[in-house]
Parts: sequence; C-alpha cells; structure tokens
Amino acid sequence: MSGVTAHSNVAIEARALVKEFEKGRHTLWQRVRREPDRRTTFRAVDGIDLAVETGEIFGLLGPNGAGKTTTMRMISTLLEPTAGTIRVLGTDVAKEPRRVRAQLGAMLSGERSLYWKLTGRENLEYFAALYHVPPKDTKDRVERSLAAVTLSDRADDYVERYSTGMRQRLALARALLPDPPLILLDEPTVGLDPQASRDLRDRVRDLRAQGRTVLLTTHYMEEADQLCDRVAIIDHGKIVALDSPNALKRTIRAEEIVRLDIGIAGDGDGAAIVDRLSRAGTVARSERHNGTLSLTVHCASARELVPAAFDAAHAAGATVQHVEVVPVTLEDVFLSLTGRGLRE
Amino acid sequence: MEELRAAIAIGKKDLMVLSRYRIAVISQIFTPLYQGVIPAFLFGAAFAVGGRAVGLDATVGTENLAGFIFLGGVISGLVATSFWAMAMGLRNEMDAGTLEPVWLTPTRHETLVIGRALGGIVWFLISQVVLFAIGIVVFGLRFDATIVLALPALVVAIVGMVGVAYLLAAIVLLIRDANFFIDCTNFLFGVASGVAFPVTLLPGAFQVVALLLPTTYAMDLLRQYAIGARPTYEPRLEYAGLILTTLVLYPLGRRFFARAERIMRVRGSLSQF
Repeated sequence: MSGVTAHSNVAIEARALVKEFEKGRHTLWQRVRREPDRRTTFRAVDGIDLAVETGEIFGLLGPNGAGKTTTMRMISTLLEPTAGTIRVLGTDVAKEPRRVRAQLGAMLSGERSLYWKLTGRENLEYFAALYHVPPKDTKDRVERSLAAVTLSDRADDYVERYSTGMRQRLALARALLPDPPLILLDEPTVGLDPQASRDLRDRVRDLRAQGRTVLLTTHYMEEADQLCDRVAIIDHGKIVALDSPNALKRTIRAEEIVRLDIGIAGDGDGAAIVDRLSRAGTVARSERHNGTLSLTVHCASARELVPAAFDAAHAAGATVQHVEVVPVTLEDVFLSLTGRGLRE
Repeated sequence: MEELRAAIAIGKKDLMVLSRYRIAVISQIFTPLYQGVIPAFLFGAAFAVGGRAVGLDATVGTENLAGFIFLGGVISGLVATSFWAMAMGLRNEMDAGTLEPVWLTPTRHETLVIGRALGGIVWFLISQVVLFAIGIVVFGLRFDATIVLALPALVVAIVGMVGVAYLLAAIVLLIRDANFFIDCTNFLFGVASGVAFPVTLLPGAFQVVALLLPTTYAMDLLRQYAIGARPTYEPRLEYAGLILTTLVLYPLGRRFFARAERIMRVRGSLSQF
C-alpha cells in the first residue's frame, strides 16, 4: 500500500480548536429597516486539543450535538475553525487544504453521498478521477476498493438497488480510492442492522491492520469500546476524557454496575433508598418516573449491593421491580463524567 | 491535466445520470420546442401579411421568421444550460448530499463548474441538432452558409456564460429559494439577450442591461451571419462587446464563487440539505 507512510507519530494534531456558529437571521429586510441584529453565537467546539497517533483507531464519542461531527468537518477542511490550528499528516489544514484532502479518505454523510442512478463501479470510477488517481491505475484501484468492502459481485448494479449497509460499504470503498494513510468516518454504522454494523466494523479493523489511521465519530459506546484504541469523550464541545477504553472504564473505580427499578408507593421520593445505597456504592444516576425510581449504582461487588438494595426497598415500603448487573461500559464513564446518558 | 480529467469525468457523469431518466431526456429536448419556439413561430405567422413577416423585416431586416426564432432558441438554450445545468445543478447536488464528498476530493472546486459546463454543452449541442432537424423538416428552417462566421461568437459566449454560471452558483449555494431565483433570472436573462425579440424593442433600462450580457452580442452576430438580420452595431463592435463582457464576467464569477465557498466553510452550510 503506497499511501501509508510515516510522517511522524502524529497523524492529526488539533490545538485550541474552537468553532462558533451564528444562530438566528438578520435578513436584508431587517437591515433595510435598521432593526437590531439579534443573532447570537453558539460554540459547537470549545477549545479542543487532540493528537491522533499514526496507525490507531481513534474514536470521538459523545451524544448528538456534542461537537464530534463539527470537529471531524474541521479536520476534513469542510469547515473553517473560528480559532485554533489543525495539522493533518504534518500539513496545516488552513494553509494547504487541497494537499490535506489528497491524503485523506472520508466517509462523512453515508449513503446519501452516492449517485443512486450510477452503478457502484461507475461511482468509484467517477471519484477516482476526482481523487486524481492515474488512469492506468484506476481499474485496479476500483477493483481493490470494491474487494476491500466485499462488493465486487454487486459492482455493476445501480446503487439504488443496494441495501443501506451496502451503500455504507460503497461509501467506505470510495474513501479507500486515494489509498489514503488517514481515513475519517462519521457515524459509520448509523442506520445499519446489527449484522451490517459488525461487517463494517470488521472492515474498519482491516484498515488498521493495513497500517492506516482511522478517526471515527460515534455515539454507540459498544462501537467505540470494540473498535477504538483510544477514545475522546466529548460533551458540549469539550473533551471531558481521553484514553483507551479500558483505562477510561477503570476511572469508574467499580467492578460492576447495578441498574435497579424500584416501585415506590404514594408520595415517597426514595431518598432513604438512595442514601442507603450510597453507602454500598456510588449512585451515578437517580430518576423518579411514574412511581418508579430508576437507579444506576457503581459498586465493587453486586453480590453485596443487591441484597442491600432489597433491604433498603423493604425498609422504605417499596418493591424492587427489576435488577440488572452489567459490566462497566463507556456509557457509565460518560454518565459519571457528565451526569447524563449518551442517548439523552 | 488532472483537473481536465476531473472536469471530463464530471461532465460524463452528468450525461450518464441524465441518460437514465429517459422521459426527462425527451422532455428537455421538446420543452423548448413546444413552450418557446412553436408559440413564437405561430404568433409571428399570425401577424404575417401574405405569408411575409413584414414587421420583422422592417425591424431587423429579414423576413426569415423561422430562422429568427430558432436562433433565439440557440442562445436561450445556452442561457438555460448555464443557469440550470451548470449553476442549479451544483445546488441540486448539494441538496442530494453528493456535493460534500465531491468537495472532499483534491479536485479544485472551480473545476466542478467547468465539468458541469462540459456536460451541459455536450447536451446543449445534442438538443440543438435535434431542434434544428425538426426546424428544417417541419418549419422550413433555412440559414446562410455564412453562419459559420458566427461560431467564434458562440464559443466566446459559452466562456462568458461559464463566468455567469460561477456567479449564479455562488448565489444559489448560499440562498434558500434557489429554484425560484434561477427560474426568474433565467427568463429575464433570455429576454434581455433578445432571444424572443430584438433588444431594440426593450424598455430603456433593459437595453442597458442587455449591453452587459455577452449573449446579447452573440445573438446579434448569430442572426446577422445566419439569416442576414440587421445587427444593432457593426460586427467588429459586437465582437468587441462580446469579448469585453466575457473578460469581465469570467473572473468576476470566479471571484464570487471563491467568496461563496469561503462563506460556506465558515457557516458549515455545505451539508445543510
């Protein structure tokens, strides 16, 4: 693979990255009438520092609206940062955007980014010309990209006849056309069924095995956990934690997570139960909804916490309706850092 | 060379996509015929005296009504190619979601307009051949051999219209009501270029606008050489006007396009579809 060369250990380096968007409008009519400008600014990315190392799969994990995609778009040259600098494979994104684009493959908007009235092969041949793949190499490069995503047998079908998963894979094949050392994937498995998701993740692992660097955004904790060498958890435009998935999970200081639903009669607020469980573990989340108290508790041992929960419920005249013991996930890390779930 | 290959690939892709909508292909050829050429021809014929277009003769110095209208169709087709295929086509790609991955390639963004121009012009030529064939067979369309002298004017006008396409692309990539904008301005541009009637009949303000458009001069030269129509100005002056407006519009359009591209990068509007 000719495109993978070591520039240094750092494939992407972002410093003090900020992106602000304007909210609201100030129309021509409003300007003519000299109405006050009521536009406000919204900071989508708020001072992110990031260094993605060569050859790793690096994940940006966070809920919708956290700033992951905005960060990705700034790295890919589609968006101009309000402040800060980005270097991709040693090249300044602001100064030489075309050189950056020539070195990266990107899959940012999934299946809609393809020409549905062209075949898979025609799509790739078209993009090969736009990626300046030499004509003598085009056929081979297209075949290899199709083979890499296991679409060779459907290459001559119109894209409109593909499943969503196949279109996503074709979009990934397109990202491979320039034989790039760096690949950006924005929510690559959104909308895919479990089998198609697994399939695409396998393809992403293949990319790492080929020595490529992958930066992906996701709001699926399992995806980040299974795929990524390192994960940056983003919330409200800031990185709140950055490490390997295992190291992040160790920050919870718990071996197990217990999720409980407790039915509370009358006007009780369950405070006594929460208080009691706080002594046996860390109550990361407590929500009361329609007479049910939902708790997420981090603990060293579920064997000790669960009986304590039953005792506490019994003492408060409540009933334990549901108990679930799960291993620590990145969702719990996010919860412990922000007090909210990834899907909220 | 890489940019030329990319431009050709863009044009080829546009033609391939178009060819897969067969009814749209037929519609694009025949719509100008039944919406523009035939009504104009019948309207002119209704006012003919003893089968002679004496009014047209008095105004522009030729009775060749079919030639006058079909040549108007040529420039009208060129204007429509610039407005719809080159500029609005880019906006359609943005709305479809295909512009973003194209934007992410190392191909220069200006090349996207050039590529669309190539595809649009090939399609424009094909449709004109079909229309002229219909004109010759059905409407008795005839031209002077000197029509070839107007071909350089047509080539320069195409370059000028690519400049206009850059300008329009800059606008439609930024505004919300792109379709309405293109529809209106395409009509006005055609009227001001004199495609349906001589620009000398336009109100004063429109005549000033007409002088700023390369298509006005191309239209005049085309009619002069093809059917012997009386030009507004002498040919050398018409050519000078054509070249001058093209020299202004092309770089101006590119400048506006580059500015629009920067605004989109700041606003992040490329992916807002």
